[in-house]
Amino acid sequence: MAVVNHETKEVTFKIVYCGTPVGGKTTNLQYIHSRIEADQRGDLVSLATSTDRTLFFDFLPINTVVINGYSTKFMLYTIPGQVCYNATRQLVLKGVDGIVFVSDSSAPRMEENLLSLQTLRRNLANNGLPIEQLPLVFQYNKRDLPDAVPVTYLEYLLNNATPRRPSFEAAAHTGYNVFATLNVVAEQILRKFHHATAPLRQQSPPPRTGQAEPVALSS
Amino acid sequence: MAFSLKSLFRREQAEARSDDSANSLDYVAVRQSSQSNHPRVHNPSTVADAPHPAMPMNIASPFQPVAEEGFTIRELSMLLPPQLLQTENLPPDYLVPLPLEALRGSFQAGRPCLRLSQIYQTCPYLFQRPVHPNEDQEVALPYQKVRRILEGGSAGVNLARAAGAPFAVAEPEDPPFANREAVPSSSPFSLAKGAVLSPEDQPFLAPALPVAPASPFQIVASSLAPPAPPAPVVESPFSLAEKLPVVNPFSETPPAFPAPHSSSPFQLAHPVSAPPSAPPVGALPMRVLPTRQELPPPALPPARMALPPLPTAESRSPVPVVGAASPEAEDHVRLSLASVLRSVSMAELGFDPSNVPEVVSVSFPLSLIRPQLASGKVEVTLPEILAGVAEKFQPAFARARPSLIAVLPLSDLFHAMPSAIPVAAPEPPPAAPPASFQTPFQSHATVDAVRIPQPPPTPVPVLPEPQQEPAIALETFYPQPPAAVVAPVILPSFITPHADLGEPHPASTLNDPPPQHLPLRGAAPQLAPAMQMPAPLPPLLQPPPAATLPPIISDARPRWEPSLAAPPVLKAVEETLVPLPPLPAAPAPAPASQDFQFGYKEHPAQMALHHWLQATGEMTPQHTVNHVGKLPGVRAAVLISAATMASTGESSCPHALFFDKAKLRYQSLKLMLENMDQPTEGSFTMRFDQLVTTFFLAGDICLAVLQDAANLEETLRDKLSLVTREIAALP
Repeated sequence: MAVVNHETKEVTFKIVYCGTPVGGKTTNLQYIHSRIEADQRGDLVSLATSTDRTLFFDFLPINTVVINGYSTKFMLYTIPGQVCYNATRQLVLKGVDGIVFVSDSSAPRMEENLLSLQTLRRNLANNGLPIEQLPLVFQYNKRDLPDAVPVTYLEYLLNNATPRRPSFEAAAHTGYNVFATLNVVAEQILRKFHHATAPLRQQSPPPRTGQAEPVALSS
Repeated sequence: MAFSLKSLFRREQAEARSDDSANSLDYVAVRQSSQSNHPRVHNPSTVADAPHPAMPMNIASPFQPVAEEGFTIRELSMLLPPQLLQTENLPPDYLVPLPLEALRGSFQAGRPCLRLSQIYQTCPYLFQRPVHPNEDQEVALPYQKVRRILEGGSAGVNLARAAGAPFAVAEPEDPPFANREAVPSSSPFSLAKGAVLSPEDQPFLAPALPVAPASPFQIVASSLAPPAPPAPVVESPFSLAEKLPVVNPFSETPPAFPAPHSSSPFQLAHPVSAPPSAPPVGALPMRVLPTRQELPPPALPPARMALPPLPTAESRSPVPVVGAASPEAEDHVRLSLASVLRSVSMAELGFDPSNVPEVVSVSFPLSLIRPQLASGKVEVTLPEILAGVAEKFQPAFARARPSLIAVLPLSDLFHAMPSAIPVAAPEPPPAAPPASFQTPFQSHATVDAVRIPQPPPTPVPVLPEPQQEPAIALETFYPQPPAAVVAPVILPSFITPHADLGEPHPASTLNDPPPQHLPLRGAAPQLAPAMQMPAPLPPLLQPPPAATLPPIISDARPRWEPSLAAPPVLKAVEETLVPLPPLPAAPAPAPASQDFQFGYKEHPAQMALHHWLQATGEMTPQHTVNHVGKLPGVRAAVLISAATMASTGESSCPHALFFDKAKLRYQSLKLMLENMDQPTEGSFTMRFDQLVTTFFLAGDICLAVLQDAANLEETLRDKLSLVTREIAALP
């Protein structure tokens, strides 16, 4: 859910990059980090393990857009692909606004892609967020590999629900379609936020309590 | 009439069959060759032959076919458990009937075997006692022999041809119910030569039965009457003549046989190799062993039932076939066997899969592949590989594990079947395109779309399809062992061969021949020596340096330490009874210092910081950070609070970056934890490029530590967590 802070006039959205291990999630964030101006982004931070809690993901805050006087921040996360970090996955997926599923186009990774998508669906359900109600974009990464399977098969395997989700062929290490993927998921998030806050905009002005107010984007 | 005959046969079968009568027709039958000492089948219908004394009562079905191959009692006695075996008074060369269908099922599963209970049901005379369910184990059978048996049994050419078979399928000119005076003694229903029985003693005697010309039970006795022309027998449900096509012996194409009429129990099975040129009149009133085409499909899951039939002797081609049969069919996909076996280990396969030439192919039915594509992984089992590989390569899998599963390479699969790639169901176009929202990433996406072209996929080297199947021998699967290399003996420089050694002394052991060792299951290949040069000696191990790390926690109190001197020697008990000398007087206590005071004067947090950091004096933030920076594994430290910020460490490049960004990153971390609805307590390790920083959060205090290594030592992490907590507790 988006977090709206009326005092600082900030709206924060959370986008999580999911997918198989070594599928290119961090490469996506590294490319985005390298292309966005330094004054519009924070540091790309990776959290390692600690004794008391296990967090291992990448974090990239981006502040750019202004909507009705509110600045918008996009928090980009990746979740660990390894199965042993499933608790961390659920933690990072808490309050997610949009998902980019980065799948590996390499032929031997097809089963892992499918398992990762099933795990994502299950973790979202555990957080009370059905995947059907979330903006989701598929990114078929590593299209330049020699053993990349056809896109039609990836669509058949992963993106076979109705309605069909947007999907992109990508090569994250070159930046091909990295921003196109992010642009589409951000657009879906903003559209959903616009529809979710339409009744609120017609009501009384927002309270100025200084506390961030979560706005549910569920449809 | 027909009813009475059917009932008679059914009763006969019921007597002869065991409990599992379904399989009784598919037994490998006893081959009664010219041996004279084989046991005979006990059957009250047999008049000529008296039963053997050791003849068991329960042998195979009398309607079983006969195969040329089989297992003898001698062979089975080596396979069966000795505690169950009983071979006394049994001829060792006697061919034992085995359930052919069960044998075929296990063969198709890749591991020919039978359970003890199955063998017991067939030939209980081989057992001392019935097989208990707990000891009903599988008996592995030789692969090649079972294969020969199945080929002989399935080809249909050798069935019921053994002259001595007691219940062999009769030849057309030798019908079992022939109306003649003397019939060959091969039939159990035959009479002894010259014997004359009364009609009451012969239930199958033909003259007592009204024979209809169109009946399949029509008796054609060539010796008694000329063969009648084939009559129009359309009316008879048991007619065979009408269902058989007219066979032109000069025609190159085999006639198309009609589908077997499954409802008729009197249907005739058509042999594979030799289509009958004339209706086998009077051949069989009972069902014959079904040929391979009529056998029920193997008990496999529906997706795996499309196995090609077992190769038969007739299907063998003299030309070496690399690919499987009919690989060009559209419902099959053909892959390289080497790529299929790439995912299988040598231990599972029995040979090195890298030795398989790339041109050897294997074909799989699409009905096997397609259902598995939805799971992202396509697997094939050993029988499926065997069914798709050429016959000449099948023996290579003799040592493969029956549970072998190979994962098909998807890229090769899609390359081989581009038209069969599944596609997601089409989606109807949306009614109205949604309104576009301006995002901060639109401009970057537009620029990238122009700047970065779509990367072309890396070309894959595609092997050309072999036009002519190369002659590849099975031996290529098993590479030749490397030739023995005689390594020259290179002596170290300090050893010089003596020129005048001469002959060894007669008593020397050099004259003895080398000891002969029995080879263990075949001679091992002679391998080349792994090393031809004397290896340099490893350097002597140096003793590890003594640990110089300072103690992590020290309470500065005197501790008892064991003496390193020699342990005291125990003396006799009586010596301990000697009175000890008096102890010296204890020194008088020193007068109390004026600085010494009872009770706690400083704050407990200060005391704790003294304890954790082994420091003295007042622990100000800067003082505390200075001590933290001196801890091993810490390069620099920053203490961030709402009011103050203290730091320690060198002001070199990485440290300066750490000092500059520490507060900003602390704020980012707090924001992130708040977004995740997590408490801002605990320790977090973050990576910024090449720097690893750990933030210890306690209240509004943050102690940031730039680490030496990627992982912070656990005791150090605990200590710094406690230090941060004590700093937050300071007034």
